Parts: sequence; C-alpha cells; structure tokens
Amino acid sequence: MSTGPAGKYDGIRAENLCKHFPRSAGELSEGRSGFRLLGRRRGEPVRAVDDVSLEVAPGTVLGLLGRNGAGKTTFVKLLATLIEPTQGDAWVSGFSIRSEGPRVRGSLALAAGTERGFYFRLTGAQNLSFFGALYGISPRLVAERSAAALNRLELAEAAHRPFMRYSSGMRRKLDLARALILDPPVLLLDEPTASLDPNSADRIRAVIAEERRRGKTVVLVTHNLLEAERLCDRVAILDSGRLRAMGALQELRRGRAGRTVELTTTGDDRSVDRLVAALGELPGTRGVVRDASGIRIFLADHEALMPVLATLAASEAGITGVSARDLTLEEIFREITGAGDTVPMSVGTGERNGGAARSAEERPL
Amino acid sequence: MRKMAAFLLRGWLTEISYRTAFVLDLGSAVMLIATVYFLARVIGANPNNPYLSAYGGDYMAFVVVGIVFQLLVTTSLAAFSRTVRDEQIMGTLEFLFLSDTPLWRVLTYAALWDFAWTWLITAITLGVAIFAFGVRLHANFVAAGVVLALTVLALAGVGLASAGVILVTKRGDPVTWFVGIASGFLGGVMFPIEVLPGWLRTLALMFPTTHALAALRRALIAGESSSSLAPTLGLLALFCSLTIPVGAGVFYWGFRTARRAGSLSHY
Repeated sequence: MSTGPAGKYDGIRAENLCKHFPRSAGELSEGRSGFRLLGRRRGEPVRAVDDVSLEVAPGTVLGLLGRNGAGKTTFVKLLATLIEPTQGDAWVSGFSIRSEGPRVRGSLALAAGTERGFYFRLTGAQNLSFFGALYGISPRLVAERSAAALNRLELAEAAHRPFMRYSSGMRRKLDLARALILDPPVLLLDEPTASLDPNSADRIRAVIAEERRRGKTVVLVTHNLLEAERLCDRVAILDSGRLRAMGALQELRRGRAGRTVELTTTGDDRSVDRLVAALGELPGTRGVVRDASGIRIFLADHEALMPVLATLAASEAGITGVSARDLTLEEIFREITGAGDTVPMSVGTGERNGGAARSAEERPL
Repeated sequence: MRKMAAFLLRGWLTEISYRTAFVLDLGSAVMLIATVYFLARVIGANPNNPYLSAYGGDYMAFVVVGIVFQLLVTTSLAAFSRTVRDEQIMGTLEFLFLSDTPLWRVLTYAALWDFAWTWLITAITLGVAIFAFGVRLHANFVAAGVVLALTVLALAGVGLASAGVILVTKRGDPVTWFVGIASGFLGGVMFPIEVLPGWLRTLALMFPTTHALAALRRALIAGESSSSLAPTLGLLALFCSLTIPVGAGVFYWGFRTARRAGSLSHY
C-alpha cells in the first residue's frame, strides 16, 4: 500500500459503501402507485450496492465481476461521484467521494462503456479536443495525447470522421481514448470490450495492460472471465449488490475444488460406474460428475491428483483421454453466484448436491 | 477562457454541420421581417395612433423590437434546460460533470452557444429590418444594452430553475412554458398592451418582461437614456437579485436529486 502527499491511501478504498435506490412508482404494485410527479415513493429500496468494503492497491487492476444487475456499474459510478452514496464512503487517490468530489474527479477517468457520451456531429478528434479542453489540458498536450491514444487504439484513420459514423467498436475505443488523454492515476473502465470483435478487444486489453505497467490503478468491469483472468491482479465478485468474494485468482481457488481432471472412457456402464464410485471415495475428491462428454473430477488440491491417477491406472473403464487443469474463474464465478452447476460438490451425474456445497460467504479466500 | 472557447467552437461546428437548418434559420429571420413589413403597410404609419404614439407611430419598428426581445427572452428561459436535456440525450452530461470545472460554469458555457447564436440572429434581424426594409431607429444602444443585459440575467435565473426541474423530470418544463407564454402574449410583442382588456393589462403589468420590453422600445425607437429608464432598470435589477439565487438553488436541488437517484444520464 502506498500513500499520497497527505498520507492517504493512493489507490481505491471503499468502506461499507451502500447505494439504495427507492423503487419507482412503476415498480410498485400497479393501480396503487397512480400518477406521481415528484411524490413520495414507498416500498423496500433496491439495494444496488450493499455494504461493500474493498481496497484496490495502487498500480493494480481489479476485475469487477457479477451478473447483470449485480451493482457493478452503480459501484463504479459511486466511485466517480456520479451517484451519491446512501451510506459509507470511498476514497479515490486518498480523496473522499462524499466530501472531496472535485478532487476525486480530478484523479480519475471513466470509460462508461456506452455508445453515447460524445457529440455525434463532431469528429472523434474534435470530441477529444473538446473534452481535453474541458478537463483543463493544454491544446498542445491534448493534441499529443489524442494522437497517441488514437494510434494505440487503431483509430487514427477514423479520427476525422464524425462520431455518428463510428461503429460500436470504434465508439468504445474512443470512450477509452478519452480516458487515456486525461492520464489520471485511476481508470474506471465499465465493460470496455463488450460487443467488440476479438481483434479490437485484444487491442483494448493490451492498452489496459500497458496502463497497468505505467502504474495506473484500474477498476475493470467485465463479463468476460477470460479477460479478467488475463488482466486482473484481483477480482471482486458482486451479487445482488453485495461483495461475495474478492482476491487474486489463486486465492479464490483456495478452499474450492483446486483442480479439475477430465476423462473420456469407452468402457461399459458398470465399469464406469465403479470408477466414478471409487473416485468419489478418494479423500481429496470434492466431486465427480459424469455426463455425455465424459467424467469430471474436482479435486481439493494438487496432492489429490496422485491417488486419482493411481485409481485410473487400475480401472477397467477403458480410459481414452485424461487432462488436468486448474479451476477456471468462470467455474469459481458460477459457484459463487450460483449461476449453473459447474462445480458440484459430490459424486453424481450432473446434479448438484446442495448439502455438500458450502456457500461462498462461508469459504475463506 | 479556453474552456469557454471550446464550448463555442463545439456549438459552431455542430451548427454548421446542419447546413440546411443553418440556412433556414437565417431565411426565417428574413421572412419574419418581410411579413411584419407587409402587415405594417396594412396598418399604416400614423404618428397619432394612440397606441403607438409613444413609439413614433411606426408599427414596423414596434414589432421588430418586440420580435428581437422575444428571441432573447426565449433563449434566456430555455437555453439552460435545453442544454441539460440535449446533454442527457447525448449521454454527455455525466462527462461534463466529471471535469474539474464547477458545475455552474459548465452549464453556463454549455448554454453559451445558444446565446451567441441568438445574438447573431438578433443582429441579422435588426440589420435586415434597418437596411432592407427601412426601419428607422433612434437608438440609444447603451440604454438598450443595459435593458437587455438585465433582462437576460433575470430570465436566466428562471432558466436555471427550469434546468433543475428538467434534471429531475427529464421532460416537460412548466417554468419555461408559463413564462414564455406570459412574455409573448401579455408582454406586448406584437401589440401594445393598452389594447388588452383591463384585467389582462393588470396581469401583464405583473410580469417584469412587459416592463423590460417597453423600456427596450423606448431605448431603441425613442432613444431614451438609461437615466430616464431607471425605474424599469431598478425593477429588473430587483428581479435579478431574486431569480438568480432562487434559480441556482432550484438547479442544485435538481442536480442533487438526480445524483441521489442515479439518474443524471437518464432522459
């Protein structure tokens, strides 16, 4: 952890941050709400961000993961002071989002990941010049940084084309270019690669990695878990506004099935059933799934691999292929958010045994 | 200054990108004056007209000043709320707010182009009236400038309040609608308020814009000085001292409400 001139934390820190939105009239029971212009609203509030505490060390990338509506964008907008928190506080480069809004805004840049946010009749370059001037950067510096950012994002050829003629991917790149020309210590990137072709997405990922090497603190909201694995030092998983897990990928793997072994067999059903049962009885096995694609064995740790291999060697199930890999972030994500049955905790045939699985909150990271 | 210039340049680049609208706006100004010219010929110039005698009996000059005034009134009332609404629709409002420039300055700069464009149209309207249609003004430009400046400031306060309402309601701005209608109909843009029935005339005199327009006509048509317009200028100054703080207050209320609701970028 490094500290700023005022002895404050330089990265990002959130403490018990909450944002509860009142339900709109339309969300309340129909017929009761009626027409309310600025009237009082009733009902339980929507807990978009609920008691989130986390830290992002300076010069690192935090991946913010979660299902749609989990509160990721609200969290980013809270950090950017675009939304006022209901409770708690957060500090960006040591400045409080509650009481030092202008200084917070001076420390960060936001790429909102939308296709709006620019003046449609102006060219990409004119848009960047405008925002550069608005953010107080000298025209010379804006010109230099714009040229560099447009080059890095492979937008130089389209720089003098009106924004309205940009494709979705080009708009997202320009969104990131605007954040880059401000050159702040903190970058908040909300799904910068969503709906991009693989090459464009790779370009943006490369730029994010470069910014990290330059010492930028980055919060990256993404649904692409491979991207998160590749770019992020740590990931935070939000679900229904609450922080369900946070840590480096290795830390998240710890305490969960640590390794997955995948098998294909050609043996008869009885011999395969015997194998599945034998594997399920091994001490390091957290779960065994047999489905149409073969057998998957979830292991608690690397040490559990040797007994499995010994069992396989002695088996008569006609094993034709064996591969072992670490648990992917996607599998961890699905386990934590309960989205899917990727990591069963018992022997079975694709069915999850809830009794054997511990909730994400119970699992130490 | 550089930020202000950036907003003006943005406005100019946007305006000229709509070439047809650009030409039509200018054409509309000319056509409006031409319409008034022929209407004035029907009415005829009569120095003894009891309703127009204070303005030399020239209906053309009377209406041209009324039109110019109404252009500025409309812009002063609507520029801020229109700016907020446009920025919401384009999704740029949040990015304007993210700059380190204070919000009131951002909004003023953003609305600046509207004012600049209106002044340009106003100048063209007056120029066409004077040089193409022979309208004769005995203008005291200093007095007229003071009247206009105070009117614009006073109504900008109302415009700020209206922008605050737009931040919350997103659409539907009763403030601008009401004051605009009151100014256009009761303020005497096309006719002297003396022709109104007594109760409407009393109502008209309650609006500062009525007094402001009368003062502007006296400055531009009769060449009266600032000192002779002092009572009206005092009234406008008083109006400014009320509307600007109230407008700023309502705007910040709207802004905070939208920030709390997380709806700054909604439209």
